[in-house]
Amino acid sequence: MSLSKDYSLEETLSALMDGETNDLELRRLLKQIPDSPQQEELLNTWRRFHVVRSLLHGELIGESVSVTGFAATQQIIAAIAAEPGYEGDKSKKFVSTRWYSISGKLAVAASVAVAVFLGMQVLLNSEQSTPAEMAQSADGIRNESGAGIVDADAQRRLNEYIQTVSIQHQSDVAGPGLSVFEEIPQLRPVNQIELEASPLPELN
Amino acid sequence: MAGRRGGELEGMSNDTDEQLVNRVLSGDKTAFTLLVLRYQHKVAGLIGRFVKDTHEAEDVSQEAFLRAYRALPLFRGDSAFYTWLYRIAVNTAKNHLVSRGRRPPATDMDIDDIQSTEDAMALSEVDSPEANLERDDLQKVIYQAIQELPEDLKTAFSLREFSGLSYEDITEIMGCPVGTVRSRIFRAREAIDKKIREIIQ
Repeated sequence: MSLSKDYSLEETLSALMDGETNDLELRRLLKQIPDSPQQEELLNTWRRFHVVRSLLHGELIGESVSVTGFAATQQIIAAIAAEPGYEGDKSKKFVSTRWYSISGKLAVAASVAVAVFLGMQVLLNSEQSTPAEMAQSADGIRNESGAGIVDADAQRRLNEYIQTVSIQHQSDVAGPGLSVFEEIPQLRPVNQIELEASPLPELN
Repeated sequence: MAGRRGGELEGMSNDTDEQLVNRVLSGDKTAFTLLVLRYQHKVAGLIGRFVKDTHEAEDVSQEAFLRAYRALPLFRGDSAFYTWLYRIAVNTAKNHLVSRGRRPPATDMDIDDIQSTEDAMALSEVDSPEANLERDDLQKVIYQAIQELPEDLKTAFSLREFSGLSYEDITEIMGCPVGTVRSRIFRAREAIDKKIREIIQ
């Protein structure tokens, strides 16, 4: 009975080295290995499976494979046993959370961009207005391109808001930091020189 | 026959490593034992390029794995686990040499360079004749064992090891359930293991 049990464990080890075990199976395996009377043989089998793979693929291995035998492993295991263990949920686990992190930051960036854009739409006159219509309006300024009218004071407040918000991607994933406002020209903050170049008209 | 699709094999290797690392971080040291045994021969080979004395190399190897264990919470998964372990091993070996008043090699080999067959074979010239003979003998025994496998085991094993296919892909090719694929691959490994067991042990 113990033989058939170990046979099953060895087959699980074989599947594990191919990344073909699920988490439950792995947990069972890790639980059974220390309790198995053939523990040393199981671990040696796992080791030899990987040595064979390395030899088949021409990978660099130890000068003498027999030197890296279980005796050397036992020293390492003993050293690790003396180390404190990690504590489950409190520990940092490496999973592909970087995708969630990026998605979350993109969602925030998109929300802010939409909010700012909508805010600017409120401040700017309708795009349907012609430059002539804009010129006849007594409520705002036509900027130099004639593309729209902006209340200078509101623009100044908007600029201040935009410049306080800076959303960056993780530099180690997406490369250099990216500001959503640099990517969307319409949301580019108007600088002071541009603002002062469009003076308020005198109101009658 | 000795070829591989590195991408598929590497991907599945990363899955295994990810599973084991997560188990270690959950408090399971047996999982780290499996990681040690998975990479010990490669780390030993790497450290052997810096430290020639066998016993000294074993000590450095132990130190490298100990450092890896302690630094495991810092492993973010941005690179493959072995890439991360490789860098720890190289740094450990270099530090060892410096502490002994010896100079590390002027150039640090890139992991891709070391893992290529050509460089591995070139490096093998640095090894002792006995070590080269042992490696060559092992490879011959392994290939012979593969040739002697029953067809279904040989096919499943070859599709896995040389073509890098997943079990699911192999089921489609061989027209059998995944459990059968898994069993055939294991039985192939077991048959090969029987032939090399006494040599390696």
